[in-house]
Amino acid sequence: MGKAAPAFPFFVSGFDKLMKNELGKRLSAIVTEATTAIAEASATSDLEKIRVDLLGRQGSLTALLKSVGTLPEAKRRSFGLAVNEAKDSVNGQLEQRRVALAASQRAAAVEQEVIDVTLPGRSTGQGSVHPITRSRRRIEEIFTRIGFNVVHGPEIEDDFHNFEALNIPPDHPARAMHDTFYLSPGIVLRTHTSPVQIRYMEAQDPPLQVIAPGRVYRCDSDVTHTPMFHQVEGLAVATDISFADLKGVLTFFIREFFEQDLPVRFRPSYFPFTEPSAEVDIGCVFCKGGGCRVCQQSGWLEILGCGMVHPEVFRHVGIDNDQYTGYAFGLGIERLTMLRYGVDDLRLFFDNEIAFLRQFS
Amino acid sequence: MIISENWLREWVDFDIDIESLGDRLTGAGLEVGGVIPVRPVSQRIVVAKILSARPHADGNTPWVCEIDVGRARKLQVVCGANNVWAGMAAPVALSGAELPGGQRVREIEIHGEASQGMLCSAAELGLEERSDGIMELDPGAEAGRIINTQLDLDDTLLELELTPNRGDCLSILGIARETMAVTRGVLRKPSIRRLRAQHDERLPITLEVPGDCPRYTGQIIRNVAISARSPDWLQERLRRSGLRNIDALVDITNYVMLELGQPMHAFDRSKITGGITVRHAHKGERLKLLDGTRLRLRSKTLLIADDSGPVALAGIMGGANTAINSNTQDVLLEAAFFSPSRTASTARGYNMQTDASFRFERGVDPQLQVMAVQRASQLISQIGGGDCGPVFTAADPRNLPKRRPIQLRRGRLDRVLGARVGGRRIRKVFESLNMKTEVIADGWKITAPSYRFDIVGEHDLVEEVARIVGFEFFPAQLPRVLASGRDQQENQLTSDRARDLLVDRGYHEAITYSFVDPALHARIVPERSQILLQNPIASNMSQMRASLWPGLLAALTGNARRQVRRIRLFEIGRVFLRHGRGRREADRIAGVLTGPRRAQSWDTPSRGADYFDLKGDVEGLLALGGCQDGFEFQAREHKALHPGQCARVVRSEREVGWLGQISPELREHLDLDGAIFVFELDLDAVLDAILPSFRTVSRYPAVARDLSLVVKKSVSADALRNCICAAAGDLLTTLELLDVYQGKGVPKNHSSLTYRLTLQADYRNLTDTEVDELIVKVVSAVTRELSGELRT
Repeated sequence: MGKAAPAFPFFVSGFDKLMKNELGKRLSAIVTEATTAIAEASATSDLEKIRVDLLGRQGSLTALLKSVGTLPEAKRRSFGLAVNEAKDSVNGQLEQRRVALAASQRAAAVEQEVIDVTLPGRSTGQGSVHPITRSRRRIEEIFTRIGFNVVHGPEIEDDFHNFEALNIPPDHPARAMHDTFYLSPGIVLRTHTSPVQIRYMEAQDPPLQVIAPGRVYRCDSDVTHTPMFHQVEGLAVATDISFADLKGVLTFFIREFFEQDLPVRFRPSYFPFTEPSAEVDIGCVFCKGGGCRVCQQSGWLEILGCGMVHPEVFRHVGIDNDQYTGYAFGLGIERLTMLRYGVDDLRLFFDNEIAFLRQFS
Repeated sequence: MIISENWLREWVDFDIDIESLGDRLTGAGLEVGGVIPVRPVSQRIVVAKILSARPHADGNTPWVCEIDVGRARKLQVVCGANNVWAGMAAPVALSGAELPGGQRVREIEIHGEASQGMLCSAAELGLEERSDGIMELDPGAEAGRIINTQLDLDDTLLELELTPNRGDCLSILGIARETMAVTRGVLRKPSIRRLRAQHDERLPITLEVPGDCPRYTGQIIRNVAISARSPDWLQERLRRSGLRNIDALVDITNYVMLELGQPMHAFDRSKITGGITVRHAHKGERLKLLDGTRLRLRSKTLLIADDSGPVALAGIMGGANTAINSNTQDVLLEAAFFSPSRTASTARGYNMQTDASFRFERGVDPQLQVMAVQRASQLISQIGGGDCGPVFTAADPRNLPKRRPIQLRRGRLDRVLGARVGGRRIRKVFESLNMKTEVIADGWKITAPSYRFDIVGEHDLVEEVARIVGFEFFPAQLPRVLASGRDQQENQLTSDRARDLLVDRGYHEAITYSFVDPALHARIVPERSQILLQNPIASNMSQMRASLWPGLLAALTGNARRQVRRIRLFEIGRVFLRHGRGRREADRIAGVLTGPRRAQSWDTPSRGADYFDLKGDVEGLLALGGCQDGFEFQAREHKALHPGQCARVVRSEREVGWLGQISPELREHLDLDGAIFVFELDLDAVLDAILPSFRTVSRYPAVARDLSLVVKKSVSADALRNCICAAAGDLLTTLELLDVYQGKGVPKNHSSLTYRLTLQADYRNLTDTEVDELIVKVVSAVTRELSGELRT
């Protein structure tokens, strides 16, 4: 559309009546035309164009409004009102249409964006913590909760720390049961985590309360033995640690670990570095004590060894045996893990088959 | 050790059943692993006396026997075995008997001959795994006697798992003593007495090393009926204890060992020249043992020698040349006390463990020798006859183990056990253990019997009280928290943090053996760092790992063989390194990956993982501690890695790890397809963290400028980055690499790298001029230092 003026030649005529009639007709024609255009608009951009044509600086309604001043005094007011009414009506229609158009546009866009929400998400794949680690963490968590620190020691040990200081002198029969790996004379792969006790007591004064998890090695390999496995050593030394404390701590641990009030039995045994020594049995977790293949029909499962620290051990590390008492224990992580999760073959732990590992993710 | 209930009851009177005894022994520290009934057989299996045996006319089945089973009427049986003769006693299963194997015996006719029963072998009675021929019974066995009675089959066996401190329990006598203590039963020793000497031959004995052998007892028995057969009862007891029947003499010495715990030896008297000397071996001496082993003796080896040389390895095994044989007439019996530590070191030195050494190592009662010799000669004369001589002994009392009184303090006892046991109860405990008890001011003075090698200090007495009273007596004290210092510093991450990161990035944690295959190991670590096991379990597990890669690559290979395509594994563990003349251990974290970048997906095409996937994971680990900028990746070569895709990780000029693709050679060695990527880092470097320290957050606007810089390919991204950072100075807050481009518009052998520099000041607005000048400065630094230029 060109300039507005040529569309309204009657403004220049100056005849009042004619003007009035002409203006009135013109106004209603504009409104009617606008209403149709608005209703037919299919995009917000069409609406904008309609608005500019009517209400822009040179829009048709704007022009009518401007012409109000040229009317005689008496007509001015009523015609002005009429034009303003028409303007409001057009604005209202424009807005209504705009909202409707926006809604249908959004609806169309949304329609385009519909997806199958059941398709799988993008993933890097979930890995898994090794079951031995899983148990080790739980064991550490239980013991740290009751004030134990976690310490570590070397895996290559000397004869003194692995045997001698633990009251296992060179010709002791207990050595034969250890199936030791040697790197050179007097240098071994630790056969148990007990040497960490020695190293810790050499370095720290009582009171002390630690556990030491780690790998240990024995020269033995069959269905129920692997040449490497994991133990957790425990040690508590203070002026008044008793066998009753040992029973309490281990009973607490076992029941926390298995999350069951299992029967726990302490049975006298022998370890060179503790006395009295005990082996700890728990009621079989599989048959609930009724007797099964795993517990060899006994209803009991042996799970750890423990005892009161032997005076010879204190002597080797320079702790006064009269002033202090202490207990120590050692448990096998593999065994606890097998019992906890029902793993029936020790060797699976070191095959590292993903099909096995992912069961623990 | 296996103990027969009937034999045990001969030595101790107790009034509980065997199952309960098993529980009590277990409760006192003698673990009973099993209570196994000896299976009695059918009552219709009885002793048969073979009256006559004639070959079957048919020839196939050799013998037709007429037998006496204690009835008026004789029976006829046909027997397939060859060892039957008139006068022999043997078990016969009569018609109606069921054999342990389930077979039912009936009267049958074999090739026209009636067979009214079946002569049995020991295997057919369930006594042995395999037998040759019919079981032979005592010639004097009463015909018709039920076999269960003849062989004492109504018995139970206790399987004991004894701890090495209880050498005193390695016998019927020892278990009888413990039974007494746990049941308050009564010990009753069968009468063992000295037989009247029928000759007076003794041998001179010299104890050259009384510390190793303070007592040696002997007896000469003449005219022994060496071919005599051990009676059924003795054979059965040995069999039930797990020993084979050999000949009467050996059976008797074994029997005495099982019964009393004293290992014995019998020499052929005629082969002994002069006297007996217990001494250490001389250099160059040799000895051939009973089992045929020939030893070159080392010094400090304790020997029994006669005037001509060694005749036995003391406490372990006799020599071949002086062994008894079918021609032996006169026998020298030996019972001695050998020191536990000497026996142990000799047994280990020659790698020989025998029933004898097993007992000597654990301590044999030093008061037992005379009694053992008397018991043996009593049995010999009872079974095979023979003329006993005097029992002669050489002893050095100063070197015999002594049991001194040990003080047990009441306070100590209560403090260690955590509960008070009454004084009367304590005295009863020691009484039941044959320990002399004297009450003193603050406790007791206790003297242990000679056989208790394990009682040397107060703690041993504490244990005796605890185990006989029973561990269940002592309460379980609830855990008391002991205040203790921290063991983990804030600027030290736990390995679990690194572990979780990798798990969340899709890695499975592996645990591989610390010993690895040398063939694979050699392709990964320098030879000088290898540490060998002296006694590996297998040749492919003979080196201590100096890297986690061999184990992880083996695990990867194993999974690839099982058709797993996408593999991500990691391990946190020790490596073992040479360090000067010694060894060093270090903790590492390492990973391997192969296969597609992502798990198979419906919307992204499958693409193989590459170096940058690996590096992203490594950077993730290095960023854990908050000091990732301190790490530098340098292109270097590693013997296991691809020369073009291999980086060394360095921090503060120290090497902390490697990553890259494994070399084509190594991949071929593993026989795998597809690229394999590995990393390994010092765990310490990953876990070192910085404590956060607050820095002001700028409220002024940041300005971003993108720069495309063209440099030669030989200029590393790291070098360019460092150059930009240095030139831009403190106002540069982040530097992002947006694009790397090679191709049209960029000269050959050059790359264009587009960086976005974000600049910001803490306390003011940056002016356009200032920013422009800084950009010019950066570009000219790149031009000057790296011959790069702005891409146009």
